[in-house]
Amino acid sequence: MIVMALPKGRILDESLSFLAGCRMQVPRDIGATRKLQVSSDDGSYRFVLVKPMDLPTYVEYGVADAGICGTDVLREFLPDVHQPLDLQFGRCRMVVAGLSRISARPSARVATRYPRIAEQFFRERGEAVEVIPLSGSVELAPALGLAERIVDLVETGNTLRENGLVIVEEIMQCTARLIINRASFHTKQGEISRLLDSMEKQLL
Amino acid sequence: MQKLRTLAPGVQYLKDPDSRIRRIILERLRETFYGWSYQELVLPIIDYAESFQIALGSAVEERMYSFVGRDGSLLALRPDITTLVAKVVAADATTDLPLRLCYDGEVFRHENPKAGQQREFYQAGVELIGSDSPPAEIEVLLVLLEALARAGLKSIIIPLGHAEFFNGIVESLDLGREMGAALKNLVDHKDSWGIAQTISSLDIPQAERDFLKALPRLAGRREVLDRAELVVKNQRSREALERLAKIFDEFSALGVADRFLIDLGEVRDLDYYTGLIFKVYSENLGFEIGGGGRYDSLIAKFGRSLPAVGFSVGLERLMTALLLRAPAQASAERLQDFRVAMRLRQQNKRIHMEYGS
Repeated sequence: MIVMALPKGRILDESLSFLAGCRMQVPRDIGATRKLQVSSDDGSYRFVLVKPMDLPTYVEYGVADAGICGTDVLREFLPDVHQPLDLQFGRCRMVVAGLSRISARPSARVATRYPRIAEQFFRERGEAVEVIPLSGSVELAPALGLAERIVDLVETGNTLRENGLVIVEEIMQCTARLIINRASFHTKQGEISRLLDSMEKQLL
Repeated sequence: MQKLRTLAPGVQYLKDPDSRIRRIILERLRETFYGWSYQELVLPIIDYAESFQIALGSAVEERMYSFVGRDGSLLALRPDITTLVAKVVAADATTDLPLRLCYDGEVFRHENPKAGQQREFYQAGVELIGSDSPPAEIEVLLVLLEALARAGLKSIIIPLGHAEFFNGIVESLDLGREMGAALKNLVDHKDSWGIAQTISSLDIPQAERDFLKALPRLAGRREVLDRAELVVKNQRSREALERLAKIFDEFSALGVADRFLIDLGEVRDLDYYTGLIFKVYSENLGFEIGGGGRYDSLIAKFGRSLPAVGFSVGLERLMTALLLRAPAQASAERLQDFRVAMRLRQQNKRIHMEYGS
């Protein structure tokens, strides 16, 4: 049996329809129930729902054999896992955004849920900034004066607009990736191989 | 007072019974090494940082605990023991070959503690020095199997790879240093998609393109070698495949082939290993217990050219793999106690549960 970690939130629905397309018997109500663990009808998979930012940890320790994880989270946490496939959904952009009105005194503070990515991005350009790690509602930071700019994910741009923010520049494109534990890749070689085959077929 | 009791990050202490279990495991390993005629070496914990820099390269250098000695020289806590074995062997030219050496002891690496990785950990291992033939590799792997079986771990899987397989591909396609390094990193993460993206700009034949994309999937049972042989043309890679086939077939004859797999995408530590590379996994642990391989150019760095093959296992990880099953068993027993107690209470008996200390 393969234990597969799925991220709650943004990419869960797309993950479920992708898995259904791979002919995996995912229980239909998995997104709706409050249960965090569900087995597939044929018992060959157990799905666990976890917070996106925690997902790489479950797979790295091997308590989940595989998982679906955004490249934003992979770049931030750099887990030591295999990442064989880009699943082509969950597309969004990681951007630097700031207030649309021009500030008189540019501040060096950047609020973000991705401190490592932000830090690296600005440092590589030789720009000295103070990165302020937050765990949510990052869009609020500029309006409240906590930071001049933010680094965050953008899908439609609506949330940014509603908070008076505009995109300053793009850092990277993000998608959903399949990740696999390095030990499970070998110890469950047959099952993992079948999983990869069915996903590759679905992606063609 | 509270402050004084704080533990430094990345270190642990063991109490009975864990400390006793570790000692017993270590004794099982030592008995196995002794039985195969490996001689025990006790090595210094402190050495010149330069030894490790030369042997292990920059990747380990960054994670080394180094400090300045009283005379101004740069010293380090050993981040690896094989380096010290190589140094000792190079210094003593009078020894008969092949040499069979074993060791165990603490190793120190400044890493972020995570997935079974502490900053101070305990390694045990063997090195067979002076033979470049397949039987030396087979012996070392058999010692490993026996040592782990004696320690009580039987559900292990050892994927075998070969450094020259990947090196041969990079050379034959004339990929160059930078592209070779990028490809190696992608293969290390079995990133088929990333490989496809990266090589899309390369001017190479379609067949080679397809092969590179398929490289991460060249892992599994013995038939992987046959599949690879059909598509790989360069001599270096073909010799690597032949060598792996020879080893694998010998394990089949010995009846232990079910413990082994092939992983032609095993490319980590290519700067260190020159031939066979392997990792040891347990079916219930998410990270490797140990690993090893052939390193024919290490001892030469200390002035004596000798082929060598060896392995090391992490004692803490081995313990984790052995003990992981125990708690599940305990809770099953407790569940049974609760069931019995419930039945008795239904008969209006009064039950007092004891859970030990």
